[in-house]
Amino acid sequence: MSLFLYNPDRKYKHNLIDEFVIRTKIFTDIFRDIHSGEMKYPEQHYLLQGQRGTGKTTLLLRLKYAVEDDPSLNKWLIPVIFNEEQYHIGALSDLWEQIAIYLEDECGFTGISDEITKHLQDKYFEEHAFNILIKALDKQKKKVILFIDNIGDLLEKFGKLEVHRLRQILQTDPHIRLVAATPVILNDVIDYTQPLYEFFKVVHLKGLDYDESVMLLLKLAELHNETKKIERIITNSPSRIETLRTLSGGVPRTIALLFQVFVDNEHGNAVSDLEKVLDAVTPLYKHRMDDLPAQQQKIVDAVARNWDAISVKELKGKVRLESKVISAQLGQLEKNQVIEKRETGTKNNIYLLRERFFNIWYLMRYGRKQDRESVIWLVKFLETWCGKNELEKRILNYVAKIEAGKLDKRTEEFYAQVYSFFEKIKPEVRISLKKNIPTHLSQKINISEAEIEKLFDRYLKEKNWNKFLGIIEYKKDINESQWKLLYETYALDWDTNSEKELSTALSDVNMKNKPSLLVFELLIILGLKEVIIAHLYYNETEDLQLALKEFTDAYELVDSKYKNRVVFDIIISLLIEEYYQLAKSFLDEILNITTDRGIILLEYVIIYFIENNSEDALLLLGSEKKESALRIIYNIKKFQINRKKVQK
Amino acid sequence: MLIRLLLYLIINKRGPGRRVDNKFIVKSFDNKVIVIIFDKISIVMKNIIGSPVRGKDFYERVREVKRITDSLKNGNNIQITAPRRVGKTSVLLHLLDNGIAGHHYVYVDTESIEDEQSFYRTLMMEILKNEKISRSVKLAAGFENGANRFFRNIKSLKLFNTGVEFNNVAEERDYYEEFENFLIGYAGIEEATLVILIDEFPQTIENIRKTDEQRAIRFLQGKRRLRLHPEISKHVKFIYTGSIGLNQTVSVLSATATINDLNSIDVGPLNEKEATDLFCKLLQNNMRTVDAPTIACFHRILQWYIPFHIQLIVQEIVNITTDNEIITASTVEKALEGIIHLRQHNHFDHYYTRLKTHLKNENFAFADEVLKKIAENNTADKKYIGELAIKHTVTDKRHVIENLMYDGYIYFDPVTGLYRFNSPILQRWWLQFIC
Repeated sequence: MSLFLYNPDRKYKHNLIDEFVIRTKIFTDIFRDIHSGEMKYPEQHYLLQGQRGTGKTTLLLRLKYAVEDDPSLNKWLIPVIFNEEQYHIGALSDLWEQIAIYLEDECGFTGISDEITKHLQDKYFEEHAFNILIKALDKQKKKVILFIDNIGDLLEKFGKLEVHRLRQILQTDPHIRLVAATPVILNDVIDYTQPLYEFFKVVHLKGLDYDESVMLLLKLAELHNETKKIERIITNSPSRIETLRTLSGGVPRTIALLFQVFVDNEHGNAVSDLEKVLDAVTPLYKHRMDDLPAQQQKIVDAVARNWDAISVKELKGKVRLESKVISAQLGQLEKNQVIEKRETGTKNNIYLLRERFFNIWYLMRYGRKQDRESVIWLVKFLETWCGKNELEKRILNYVAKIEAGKLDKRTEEFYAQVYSFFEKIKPEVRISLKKNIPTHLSQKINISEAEIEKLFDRYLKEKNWNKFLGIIEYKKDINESQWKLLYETYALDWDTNSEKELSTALSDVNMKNKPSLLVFELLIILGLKEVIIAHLYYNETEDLQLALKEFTDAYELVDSKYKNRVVFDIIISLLIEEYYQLAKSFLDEILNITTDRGIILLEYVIIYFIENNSEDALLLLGSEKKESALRIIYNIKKFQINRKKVQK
Repeated sequence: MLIRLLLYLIINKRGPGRRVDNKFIVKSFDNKVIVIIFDKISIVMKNIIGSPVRGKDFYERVREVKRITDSLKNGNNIQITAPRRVGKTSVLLHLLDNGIAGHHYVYVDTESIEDEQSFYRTLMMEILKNEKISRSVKLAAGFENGANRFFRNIKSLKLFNTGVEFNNVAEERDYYEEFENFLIGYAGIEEATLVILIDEFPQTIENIRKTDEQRAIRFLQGKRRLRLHPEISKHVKFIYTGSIGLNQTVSVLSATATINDLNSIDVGPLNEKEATDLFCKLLQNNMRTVDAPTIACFHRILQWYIPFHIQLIVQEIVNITTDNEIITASTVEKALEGIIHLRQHNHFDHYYTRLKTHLKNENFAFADEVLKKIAENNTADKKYIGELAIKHTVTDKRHVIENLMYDGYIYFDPVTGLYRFNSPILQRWWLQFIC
């Protein structure tokens, strides 16, 4: 189907008919009128108006085929179609000649062209040509229904008197009926001083509504063998269809071009498909710009570069035209469905390009080429195309690929530029992105203090230390209550790896906002604990004793129920390393300060080991406490066995 | 299907219950025969927008047609005057298609003609397209052997086997003279009045004027001469109309005297009953039906029943509804919104543009303010308009107001003494886009 998006006349007739699933109401209404007309008197003439890609040519062809195939019509009515770019028609007489040539070639009207040519030098040549044509039609008892695409081009070539003459003929002579199409609103039709003013029944081909878009997508899916995917999207994600409509402006050709991007969910493939699509739409969109007069082009340019809706006042500054001129041109552009007006509740409305994908193409093609600005088109596409969740998924996917080393430098840099624009995604996703892209781009990504605060509190609450560590570097200050919370939360967590990193990370935090002593000292104790463990590991006995002394001093100063967890941890570590006496002496120092039962229990455990695993040491404990003590002893012994295995 | 019951006294009884053909049932009793005719032809009408309406799609303008035929009977040549889109051309074509009052009608659209010679040549050609004329035995006899001295002088017509035809041989001739001779010859031998319906005549004058103003004046004078020719005027009449006003066109040339012999007949809007009838028929053709409240709504929003506005409303209703749908008052309201939407701007925009073109400076400013006032307040009284005229230093207030009335913007209600917009639709558009 995509091969003939620009040239539907090259499609086989049966394919066009089979694929004709939209504009069916318009087709039915017009064909019903054609079918019921006898052309005894001049009939209603039609003008299909819609921007390029809305299906005018396809509709003309569909009507032509319908006339050809209708047994009651094809006996007497001959459809003749003139496509765009009728370079060989420069005058009204040429039009009659071309119809005559068609009738001669296709319908056996022998000799008609020669007869016309005989009058070539005659002053009234056009009149003769027309009279010969209708005489030939009368002889064969036939009439003609003429389908002319892009009639504006033809009318421009005709002089004003010729247009009058055309109107005169169409209004008075029943031999020819006209169904024409135009991509723009024709001045000939809207200017009351022009001959064709209000002459036609104008049928506007608007953007497809939701149901029509679904019909089109289902047909496209059938042709691309993607029916299941599309049906799933229709059922599960109808909002994606709305997105497609917004992006494409409901223009069928754009929808067809975006189809592959639409069904493809994969990150890389969707965007590379997009680049192909942008290439494919260039003739369509370039044509659309070329169709516009100079002032309108200037205005469209300014609106497109702004992306967001813009007021007349702002436009005035950019295009340097008078406000009333701008307003008048915007009115025309709105009628032509290039611009969409948004009401603001005041008399000053704002304007943007109706087809967002056209805007994206414009930015890609004509946007600034410096650095980050050169990717703005893709930013806008992704913003419109992807919901927030999907965008975040794409970014995280991208980060994962960087971390896995799966992207080349160029791609990495390119998407870093693109994603650095997205401010409305979750801060944690932005942080993740910020950490993984080159510095000159990561600087563009801002994380507000309020967002860091939120994350800080959230990760702390969740005890998600990895992520907590991830944001701690962005935290300028930690206030007193945050310190307290950190201290209390952290002390409950036994993950020693996190502990070390956390201590290190916290030590980098700006201590300008001095935390309270107790929290600060917890950190000291934690730090001292690290030191003790290190000495234990390296069997540095003297340093160990000193560290334990330092710890005890600090312990006395700290006022928190959690500090004993740290003590517990140290004593267990000492016992595992078989520093029984040292553990006892340390504990005695601590017991001089505290009467915590958990700590007291350890005394029995230590004695157990000092007395060579004698359970007599536990005799004074009640059954419950004995059980707890035995559990601790069992775990210590297990660690001792493992340690010895590792040492071996 | 409409069943019409027709009682016939048929001399040749066809027998009881026998179907004569597919369209008839015949029953006889008591020496009488009843024929029941099944008329499959629908009474509905197509909604033709832009082009003149003919045949069964033409809504009978009985009043206007009578005024025209009465005026012709009184020996007048006529100009049909009316604002745009009221149906002037359709009325002319109705005369042509139905040979009203037994006259020979010839219709000519002369909008693309830019010189006098082409004008008369075209008229001659079109006259001969009327078979009643071209195959007239009397006419043929007049041409045969040069029997008629006027026909003898005409080189552009020849007698062929089938009748008189236009002679296309390229040869210099004076088509005005030939036309004059033809008309004199015709008037001398034919009894039926030849009525030449010239559409877009003011445009022809404009086309000629653009080349040479004096030529345009001479052209008008020549036309007048033909109309007032003592022989021609007995059996040949002219009816003129056009999208642009003839009076206006001629006054630009300061040549109003050249048309002072024409009787002006105004084609007005339909009355309420006619408008309702047309509305229903157009909808019926599009398989839509209406109920009484919808008709009331239609009356309320339209009021000034020119066929074009009715057509626009119907077209919009068809666009926003589906087959067999019953149209409600809210649909009509929605359709009204649709037709004054920006997309349809050009249907009404010309009312404003025309003002700017035809009225200059203070006259335009005055007219603009008058219309804005009436749009916002529904009415304006003479006092207020007088005050506005002084404000804008307008010297010929009457001329401006008459223009506005003549072109269909406003009317004066003598009962209330107030000016109002003719069309509520136009008023609503004015309020939305101009005020």
